[in-house]
Amino acid sequence: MELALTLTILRYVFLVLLYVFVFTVVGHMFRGTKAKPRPHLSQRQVAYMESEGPRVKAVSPTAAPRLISAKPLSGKKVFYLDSRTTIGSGKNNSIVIPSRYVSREHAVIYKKGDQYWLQDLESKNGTYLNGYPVKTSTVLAHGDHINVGGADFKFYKW
Amino acid sequence: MAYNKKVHMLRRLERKLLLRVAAYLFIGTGVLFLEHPDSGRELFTAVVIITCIYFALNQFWNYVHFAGDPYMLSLIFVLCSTSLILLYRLNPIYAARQFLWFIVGLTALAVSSKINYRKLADYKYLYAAGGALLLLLPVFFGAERGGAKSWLQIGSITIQTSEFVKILLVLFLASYLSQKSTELVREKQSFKGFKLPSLEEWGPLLMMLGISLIFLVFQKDLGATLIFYGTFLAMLYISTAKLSYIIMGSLLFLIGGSATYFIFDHVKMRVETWINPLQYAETAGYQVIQSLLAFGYGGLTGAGLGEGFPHFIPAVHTDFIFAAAAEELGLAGALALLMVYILLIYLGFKIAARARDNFSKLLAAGFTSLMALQIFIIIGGTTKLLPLTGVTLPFLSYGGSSLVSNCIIVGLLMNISSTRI
Amino acid sequence: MDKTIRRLCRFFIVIFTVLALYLGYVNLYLGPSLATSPYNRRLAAIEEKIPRGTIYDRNGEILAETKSQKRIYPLGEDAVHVVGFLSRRYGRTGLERVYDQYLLGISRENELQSFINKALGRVQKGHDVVVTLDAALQKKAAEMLGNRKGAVVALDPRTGEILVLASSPSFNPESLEENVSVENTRYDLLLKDEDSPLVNRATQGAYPPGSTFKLVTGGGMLTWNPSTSYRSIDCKGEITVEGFTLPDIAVHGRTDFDRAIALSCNTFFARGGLELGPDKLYKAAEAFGVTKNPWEGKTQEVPCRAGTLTPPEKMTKAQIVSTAIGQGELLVSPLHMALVAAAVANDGKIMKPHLLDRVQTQDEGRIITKYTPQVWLEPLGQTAARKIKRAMQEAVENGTAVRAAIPGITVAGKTGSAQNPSGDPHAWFVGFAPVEEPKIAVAVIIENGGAGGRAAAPIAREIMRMALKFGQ
Repeated sequence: MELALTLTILRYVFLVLLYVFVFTVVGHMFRGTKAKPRPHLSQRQVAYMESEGPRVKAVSPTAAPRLISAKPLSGKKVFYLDSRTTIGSGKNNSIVIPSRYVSREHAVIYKKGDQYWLQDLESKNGTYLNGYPVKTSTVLAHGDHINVGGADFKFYKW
Repeated sequence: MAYNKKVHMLRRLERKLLLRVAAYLFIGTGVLFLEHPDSGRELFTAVVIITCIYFALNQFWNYVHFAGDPYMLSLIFVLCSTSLILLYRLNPIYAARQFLWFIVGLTALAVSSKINYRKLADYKYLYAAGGALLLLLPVFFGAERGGAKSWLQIGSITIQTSEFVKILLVLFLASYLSQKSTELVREKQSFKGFKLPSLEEWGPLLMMLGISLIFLVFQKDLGATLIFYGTFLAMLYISTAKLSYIIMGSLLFLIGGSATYFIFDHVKMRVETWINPLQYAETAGYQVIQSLLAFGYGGLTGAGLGEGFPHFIPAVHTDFIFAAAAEELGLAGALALLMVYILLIYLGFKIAARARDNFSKLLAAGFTSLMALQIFIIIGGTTKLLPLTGVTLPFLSYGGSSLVSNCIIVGLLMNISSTRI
Repeated sequence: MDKTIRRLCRFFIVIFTVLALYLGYVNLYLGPSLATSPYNRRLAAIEEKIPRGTIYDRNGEILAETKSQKRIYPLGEDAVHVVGFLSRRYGRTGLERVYDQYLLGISRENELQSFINKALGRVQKGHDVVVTLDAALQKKAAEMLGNRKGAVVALDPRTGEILVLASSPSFNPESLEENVSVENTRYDLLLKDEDSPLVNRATQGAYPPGSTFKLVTGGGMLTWNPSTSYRSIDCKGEITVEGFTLPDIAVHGRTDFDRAIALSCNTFFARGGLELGPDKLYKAAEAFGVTKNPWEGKTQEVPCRAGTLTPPEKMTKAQIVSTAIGQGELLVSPLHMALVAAAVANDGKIMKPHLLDRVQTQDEGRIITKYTPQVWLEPLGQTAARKIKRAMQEAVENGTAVRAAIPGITVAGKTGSAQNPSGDPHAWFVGFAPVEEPKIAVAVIIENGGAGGRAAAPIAREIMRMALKFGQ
């Protein structure tokens, strides 16, 4: 009889635990989205831009895909993207960043279809996209923030 | 570094959720043990090993700074735990075999979560060819089971090829549509007032689909056909945002479906037993009737684990596992499991919405639609909401092919969720 | 693309919500509604675990019990139509069917208890069902019916408790699944038998009531034409209406109500029926419950056939005359006629007939549910009832029903010889005893038994004598 009672209780505990789990997941999911919304990249970018990023005026909708640098690099701030745009400290690069934190061939942005992809070229200090290290080729979205060895860029598609 | 901190947080949450599931699994195991104390050792060993694998996977991801979704793994774990417990209760041999498949599946999950899935976008015609081949093989070398000829025998293992074809289908559609979607929307030609994209763009897509549908009709695997077609429509809708395609596609399917109703006896039988199962209660409707009786016997809180009579339902360990769950865990348990599935689907679409490029979005949404359709069709079938078509219930049903393919899908979904950049 | 993904997600969440709601419907409504389906092997599986309760008669005699996995019926074929049988193949019938849930202890009243039992791992036990039947009387009735086709109904007019419900021919409730020939089981043969032994003639039989129906006609006459009680007519041995001549048994001469009942004068009641007219005659039948099923709408303790007669708007004068003396298109069951007798016996009130006395637990005898008697119909006023009672007593003392007389006990009765297409008239007797304080009302029919006084009355006499001798 004791065995049967234990079994009955365990059977209900079993069901209750299933619900405990489901509600824990639901709770975390909703808390996660409410208190600390994982913002859309563009939103995060706006916040970033407002605090420390370069101030960029509104751009015209017909403008070509380009990178805008936070600091002028060899006098230029706006870099229009080709089918293949290389970034590095080497002189052959499309965008040259003279810094000791930047590898010679640091990163590349290439066009695939109508999308632009960022690839880290196994640089020493890494390439960061919106604060995350770029490990594999990654597609760029309008308003993305790119950091190459300390140099900040913002990607505009339009 | 912020990134690593973030990863640790995600993995810590995952660990917490896994712990909850582990408690659930151990209580369930306790019930099984108290019912049959003689075979306790093997059972506990298996449960401990399974639990360890999940936590090991969590540690592995933590170690490699994997930023994938923190909920997914625990949702899979809770379904696998339920599956293991139900299968053990039905027949310990099923549970033992499924245990081995769990190990294979989780390995597949771990691998697919870390590969560079974006490279997969480049091989679309390989998928088409591979899919066609996988569908073709069983027609010639296959074994027929339950009216469907979709199993392939290799040594002592039988593989249900359609389970893997579905992955290839989504891969193909995702890579194809992500590159062509703009063209499909452009509507170059107008035909009697209807604006339609040109045949060159549609051609390969329709061909691939047509071929798979034809094969499935020959294999008599109605469930898989339904899922394939539904997934195709869902992905087409996502990439083109045109409801008219979906309506047109559904109409075509209805026409085709009614045609098969008159041509193929097995389709006709399925529909007739669906409409009036009691009339065929001793033959084709037997399964569904027994399933409904199981649901009814379960009531609100169920007969209790080990107290029901799920054995009265033929194929209870595969297609009808949900009926066994409803009988022994009741409406409460069935709804909890359904909630787990809804969460899984919601997460899948969330991952799709957050993915950065079109290929990833289509891939994630396609896999999620696929799973959702499969779950809906089989649960609907066991409850007489829909005609019964023999497909497995992801992660709950007994069967290696289904488990491994679904593990790969979840691995890829987590992979997509991790590449937020 | 995000918009379409979100829409698709919403779509799936909606259809899964529908699925969840539907699941609730299946688990809580559709599934349970199928639970008693013959395809549900669960019931049989549960039963194998539950020791099924015993069915007792009013004196504690066993009517059905389970001994070493086998259901045993001590009364065998004598009571099978009431008690019923249990068969994997042919289902369950009678009390075994109606009180199945109680016998298995899984009734609604017992839900909490069975839950506790299950939780504590106690053996779930079925309940005992005690019925109002009297095994000794039942056996006697069956014995006296013998090989003749017919039925005996006896009940307590004060409460509606059914004491006897015998039907002949009968069959043995055990070993129905046994093969008698290559293609036939015992049950198959019963199904094919032209004498339909499976039918409970006591409640499902459809017989013309013959002269016993004069009690109903008389009741209607006394109710609507009070002068009936002191008027008399001149019986010339036949009566002709619209060219139809109804013969009488004899020329009764000057006949009043008492004499008309006692000698079963057709002319008296034919005239009375004509005076009442079709509507009131039909109403009288309705008032006595002849056209009704006592268990209508609820679970029937016994499957019962409500009596039928020509609807009043279609009744010609000739049909009125026939109906008034229990012929024509009128068909009733013996139970209905027993209830007519009971109405007279119980001062005009018919108590609702019932078989269940109580349900109790196997060990402690704790009562789960108990039946409380209730009035079903009130077809007669007290004066009218007493008038008929006296007339029926006269029939036993000096009339057609003398064979029902019991020394030392006053008996009231009415005989009937119902003309029918299948041969000799059916022999009827309805009555009750003792007249002063009726404790038992009886209806007997012997198919093609000839005159009611000769064939049916002696059976009723023996049942009444036995019932009254052994107390109450």
